[in-house]
Amino acid sequence: MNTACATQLAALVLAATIARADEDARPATDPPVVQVLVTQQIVDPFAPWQKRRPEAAAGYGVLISGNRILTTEHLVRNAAHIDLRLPRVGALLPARVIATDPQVNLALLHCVDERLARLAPADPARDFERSGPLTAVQLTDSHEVQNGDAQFIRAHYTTLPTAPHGSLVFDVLTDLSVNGQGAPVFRNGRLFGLIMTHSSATRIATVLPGPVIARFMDSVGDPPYGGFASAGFVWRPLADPATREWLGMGQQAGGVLVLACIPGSGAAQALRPNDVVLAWDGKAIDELGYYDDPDLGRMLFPFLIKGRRATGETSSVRLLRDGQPLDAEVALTRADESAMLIPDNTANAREPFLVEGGLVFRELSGSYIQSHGSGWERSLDAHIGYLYASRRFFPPTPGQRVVVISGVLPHPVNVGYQQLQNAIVTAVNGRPVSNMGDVFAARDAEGCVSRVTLKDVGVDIAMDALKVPSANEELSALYRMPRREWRGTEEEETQP
Amino acid sequence: MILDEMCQFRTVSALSVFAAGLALLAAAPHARADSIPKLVRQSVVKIHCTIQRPDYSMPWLMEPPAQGTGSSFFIGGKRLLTNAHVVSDLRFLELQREDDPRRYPARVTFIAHDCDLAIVEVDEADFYDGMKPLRLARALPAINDEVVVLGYPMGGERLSVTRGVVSRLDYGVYAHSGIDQHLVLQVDAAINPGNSGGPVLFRERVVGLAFQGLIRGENIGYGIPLPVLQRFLDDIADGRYDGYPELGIAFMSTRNPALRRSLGLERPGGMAVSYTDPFGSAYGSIEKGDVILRLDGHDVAEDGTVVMDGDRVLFSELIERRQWGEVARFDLVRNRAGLRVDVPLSTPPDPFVFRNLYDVRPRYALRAGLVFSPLTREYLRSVRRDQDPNVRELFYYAEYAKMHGHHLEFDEFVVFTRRLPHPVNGYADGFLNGIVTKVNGRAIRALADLAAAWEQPEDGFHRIRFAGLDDTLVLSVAEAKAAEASIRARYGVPAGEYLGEAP
Repeated sequence: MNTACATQLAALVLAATIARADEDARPATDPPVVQVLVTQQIVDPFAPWQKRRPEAAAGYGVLISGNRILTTEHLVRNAAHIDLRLPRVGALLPARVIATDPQVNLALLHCVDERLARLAPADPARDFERSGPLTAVQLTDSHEVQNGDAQFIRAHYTTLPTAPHGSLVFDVLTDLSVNGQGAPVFRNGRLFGLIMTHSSATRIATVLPGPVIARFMDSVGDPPYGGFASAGFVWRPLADPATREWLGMGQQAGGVLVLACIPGSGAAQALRPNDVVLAWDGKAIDELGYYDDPDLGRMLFPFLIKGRRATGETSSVRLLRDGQPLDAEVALTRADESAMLIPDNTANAREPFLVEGGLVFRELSGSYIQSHGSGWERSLDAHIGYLYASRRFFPPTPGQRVVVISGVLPHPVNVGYQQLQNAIVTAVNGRPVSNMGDVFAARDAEGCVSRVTLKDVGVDIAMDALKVPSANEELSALYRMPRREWRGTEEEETQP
Repeated sequence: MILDEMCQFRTVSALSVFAAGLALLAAAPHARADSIPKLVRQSVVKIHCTIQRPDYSMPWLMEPPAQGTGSSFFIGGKRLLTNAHVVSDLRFLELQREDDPRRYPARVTFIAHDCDLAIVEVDEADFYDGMKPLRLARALPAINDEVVVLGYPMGGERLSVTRGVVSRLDYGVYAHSGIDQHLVLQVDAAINPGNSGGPVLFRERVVGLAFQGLIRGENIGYGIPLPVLQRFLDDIADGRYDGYPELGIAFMSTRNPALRRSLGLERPGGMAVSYTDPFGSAYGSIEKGDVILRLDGHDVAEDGTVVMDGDRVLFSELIERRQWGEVARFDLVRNRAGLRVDVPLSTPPDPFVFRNLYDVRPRYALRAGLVFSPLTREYLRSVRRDQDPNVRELFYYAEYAKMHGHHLEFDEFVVFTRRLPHPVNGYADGFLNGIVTKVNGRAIRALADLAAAWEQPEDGFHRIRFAGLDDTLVLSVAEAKAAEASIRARYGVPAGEYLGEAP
């Protein structure tokens, strides 16, 4: 906390004392934690013209400078409305999201309410100091501040519980029975991290570390948002002596095997399948993919990219290719979902759709596939399941997606086709389509969709071109669709 | 007495396991046994069998033998008709008549797994003394006609007679093969674990053969109806069972007027061919986009049905009754012009139809402790269809083998199904459930190719490639060779491979 801030805070506390004597008793030492009350609402994946019933979620955030609140992205995902609540105060302070990054499960909120200034903003720890006592903080159901002792257990690089992305994570043992995500952990007055998950059985909380938070804040403060770096390749450990010998590694120790490079990534320019990555930015990588980090000790090497480098930078990589040593430069970029055959859409953003003649066109995404429920692996078509499990990073041509008819709204114009479900579309009106943009273009060229070619089906679906436009009107009224299409570019109100 | 009952209880449950979870049909309420003539009763014979299934996850092992009982009935000559599932994977078979303590050794002379029917015969002539063949009816009973089911369900030694009413004749999957669909006679009768293979009689003539029950529904029992029995008997008339010819087409309804116009159809009716199976009879004769207007002179409606003997049935019922070598005549519209096509009905063995397997010894090759087996329905059942990308790939290849042209690269899918841990193969688990594409640089179309390619490693390494990721399983040739005998000894594997009978 800098001096200016402290002075301001003191003045406000004074003002509050004069104005509201009943809040007098509040101790001046409240930690900068607020409750974050979220109304979440997602677009119905099977009826994308409407939103589903809103649901309430509650968690925590930490006040930082500039009336901003740090919390987890997962908590505010699909937020229609957000309120903040201060310790021991009933008032709801509306807030809005100003930045999120699902790749690190972080979000930044903004709240203009002056009452926030009663709390002293926190700063995230920028170093990896982990020794000594930690304090986890949350509010009780009577809005009282509750502190719990906590203790650092270990640091590791692992997949986030909320997204298919890796991150540095701290495991922290705490005696606090954590009742919401985003609850802060402090060390020596600085933000040590935000709690993402907590197990009451093991009393272990997974914590997003301060240095990750600091990087996120720095990137938000330096627009355009650069995000976290990625190289873009699939690798596996290389412990097997027979494989090492076959690769011509001789006495060479360590190294991991490159299996595939994601199209469009920096790795695709510099690495090849069957390359052995021996060192990354000068750090030797062992056969399981770990290196020796000066701050954190044994750490998985992707942390060298996501945790130690920034987008736009270049990593120098020591390779073994066809048995020969080779130095390569790998450009680092932000992992880009838009290049995927089946994007994850972790943040569950609204996706383009088109309803023509009752046929509902959309692209496959991870969030759409998973919205089929926990048994989607068994219930969904085997081809779609295979594409998602094994091919989602690898579009056969750039920009290609999997366009499907996700379902059909019955109407006389589409009789004979009403059983279609998640049928892959290869052409519309005789024009090949590889994404929703092509579908809209094919529709726009003819004025309506009258012919659809499905993968593996030797007969095109035909609808009467003279009747589809009026059928569209009837369908909109019949099924109460406020809109029959969304191209992904139209403005819309998502939050206050 | 107690012993016998216990034995029967055990065997009935074992039988239901082998019949893929089926309860076997027994009808209720009980009819008065004396209302059934003794001559009819004498033709219904109890089957005592011992069956044994292989363990497809450890293909050199057998599961414990299980004893079971079933029913059969005499149809003339020396033949008794029963269910294939009663006598599949058979080790020992005896028949026993009612009121006769003797059990006669018997053998299976014909078995049809695609329609769950079999013929058993007894060599000793005195078994047939006084036995009169049950006669097949000329036609199926009508809905709501009362039928009688005879057999030997669990809970007693003597013949049981029960009554029910024909409630429906419909298509259904025969659980024995797991995929074949034929007509099914539905009877409103309570389901108990009981007898399979007993006759369903209408006015003392056979109209069906009791075979499977629905666990979920009460008072629903299923029989194999007369047309399926008759077709089976016609098929084996030449001394060999050929099986059902498969047409191998998928179709789309032409209900939509715009679709009819685009296909050049002037009137409602006809079905549009959307897929032709490369192993089907129609392949090469009928093309995608053709519209089938008539089949063997029957008009095909827009939903693929035809009128046959006054009933509206799916067009495939016309093919169902045909034998190999016969010709089906199609009147088509192709490119808006009429066309008549004669399709000879026959079906080559199709390795990409994943039926339940019976009476076959599982093939496998054990190399360096890695078990390679052809993909089977049994194996697919044993793996969880979860997030493991290799497993998802297996299901994809199994379901889309022909549609996506994988049948052109493979004669069967050879899968790395199990690892018997040993130092030589300690790092192979990531490849489990992978479909082998190459071994030592040679393409693997079938299991025998793997065995042959294994003999030709280069530079001291076995290299195994799998469908999917660009990755190689590498094993040291010297270590693999040294390990073979010790792996077999350690895990009790009698032979390093079974590649099938020599042709």
